Amino acid sequence: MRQSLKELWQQRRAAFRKEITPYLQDIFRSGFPGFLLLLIIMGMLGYGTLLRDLPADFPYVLVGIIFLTPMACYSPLRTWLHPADVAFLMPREQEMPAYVKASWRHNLIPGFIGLGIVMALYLPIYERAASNPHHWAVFLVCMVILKSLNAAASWRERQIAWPGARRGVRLLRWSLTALLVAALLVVPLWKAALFGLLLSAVIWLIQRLPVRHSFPWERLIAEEARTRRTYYQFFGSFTDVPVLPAKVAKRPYLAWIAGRLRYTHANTYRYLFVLTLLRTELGGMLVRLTLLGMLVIYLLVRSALLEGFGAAGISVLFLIIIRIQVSALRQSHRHSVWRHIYPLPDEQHNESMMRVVVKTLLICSLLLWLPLLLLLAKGFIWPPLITIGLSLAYILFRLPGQFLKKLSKEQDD
Amino acid sequence: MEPVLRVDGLTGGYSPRRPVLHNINFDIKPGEMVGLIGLNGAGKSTTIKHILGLMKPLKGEIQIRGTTLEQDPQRYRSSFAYVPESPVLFDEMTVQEHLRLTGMAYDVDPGHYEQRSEMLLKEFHMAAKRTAFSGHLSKGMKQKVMIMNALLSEPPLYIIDEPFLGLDPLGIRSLLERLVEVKNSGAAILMSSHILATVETYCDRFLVMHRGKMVAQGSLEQVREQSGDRNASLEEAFYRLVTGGDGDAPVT
Repeated sequence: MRQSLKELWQQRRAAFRKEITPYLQDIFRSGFPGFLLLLIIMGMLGYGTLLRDLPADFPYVLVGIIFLTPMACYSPLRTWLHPADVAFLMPREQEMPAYVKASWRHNLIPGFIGLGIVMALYLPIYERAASNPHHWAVFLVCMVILKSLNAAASWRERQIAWPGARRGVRLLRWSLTALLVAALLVVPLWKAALFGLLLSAVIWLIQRLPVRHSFPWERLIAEEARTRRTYYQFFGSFTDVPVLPAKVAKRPYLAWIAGRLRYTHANTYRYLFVLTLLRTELGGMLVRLTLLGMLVIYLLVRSALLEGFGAAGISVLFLIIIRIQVSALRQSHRHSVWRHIYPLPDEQHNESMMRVVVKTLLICSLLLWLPLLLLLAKGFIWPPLITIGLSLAYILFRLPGQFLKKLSKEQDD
Repeated sequence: MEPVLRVDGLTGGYSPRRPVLHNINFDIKPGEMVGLIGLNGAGKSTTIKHILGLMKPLKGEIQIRGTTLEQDPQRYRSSFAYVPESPVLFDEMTVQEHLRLTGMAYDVDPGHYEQRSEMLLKEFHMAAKRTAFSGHLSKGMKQKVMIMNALLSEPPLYIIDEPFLGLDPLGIRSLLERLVEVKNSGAAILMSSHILATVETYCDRFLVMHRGKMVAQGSLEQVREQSGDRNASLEEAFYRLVTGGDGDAPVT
């Protein structure tokens, strides 16, 4: 008798959970939960102060768009599909809707909970800052509808055969959702609803145009592989993980940096590691973290939380997270045959990796420090001074030795 | 003439209790192309791994340009280029960036690098793919990138494992032409392949391995003689050598 696809889905989910349990234990032992708790406490403290002393000109529309749009648009789908399924599951394509239904349930429930949490945090700000706010329940219902429509649209997007068209439609969906969130925040509800109807019609029409797959096998397999990579990349910051093929993005806006490195024998590994850092998911994560950090710090600077020390503390916390992330570079090319074949002194490998990590962290710390400079205009001198002093002292004097030691210890093991 | 590569009494494998290679002896001189042939599991790739320094000999010694890996790792490693059986490229790098990385690793002079990388891109019909990521290339194109990287550094020794796998006819022709060219300019080539007709046409000498032993080696005439049929083609001689006995016949 054939196994039901729902059972297969459950088996695969159980297998993945079993697979990651040892890594979760390692993370737990590393003290990361404590750090996370500290981050949440600091965040709540900052949030409380922000609510208490909300500036009259607080950019609540911009903040709403930045935090609510991703919550509405982001519609991941864990399918546990892998490349061999093209051979083994494809013949049962007509049964796949039941399989995907389980995936939707798996992703949408936490998605709606996440949206609820962000709404719970945002609504008090909105109600204080907006001159004529909608009732919170109405706003919440609108956001739930918006997220559901986005989830449905994201499935249609996955079915689009041409990658260019798919990316274009996704960009359009995100942009229009951001516009609709803005409309919800600033215009009367009936106008926002009309606007929403119009936008839904536009998206519906556009999504009908391109050539579509009935079931997007390749897309879902690639998406699953990317999710697994992200998990393993995160685990890689704490412990040894199997090396999965890296997902690569061109990122020409960053990759030029590698091209600027001088063509010399001594720069060989540096060239390799800079490209690895910039083009793999690690680089994307660093860019996102730094930008998010800058935004959060800027908002805290505006609210002058704890006389500037709130923003300074958060900038240090972001730096610590970035430090954890960037050290995942240790995992790259660990088992590459070329390390044993290139005519290069062995110590150049570790030395080059350390230099790339130090420089990256230095750049990120300076970027995170920029919004803190606004504190000077408010007359708070010490928070930016202490932050930059501590960051530079750690990055320039402590990090190099610490990183090299950890690297050689791992290699000895 | 001093050999570029000398393998002397090599016994090796993954465990001292169960060696895979048994007392392998051969050398390769400058300007020679030598074909390493054998069935799957005969020990060709293990021999190559020992030469590359990826495995340590249990007994015996390997010298490249008169030095062992332990004596002078820099000189040893800079003396050869390696093309593995399956292309091993960095997913996050483009074709051109791979060439640049190799140029830096082998300390190729910048001007020379520019000129040679352009020439190789053209020669292997890869100019249009110079900015493509290796992950987006077909298997044959990946193999071309490996070969181009090996040719870029112009070392005295080329170690090439199954070079024709996945290559299109134009790629095979370009590779063979370039190999003849580097051979004529004085480089030594150790090439492992199952395509015996090509090996017979292009190689000067042959190493026939079977069950971890060298069952025959030398010119075509010498291999024919060792197989017991003076008129056989390389393929026929090879067939006799690996099926006629158990592979433990004494090497003459």
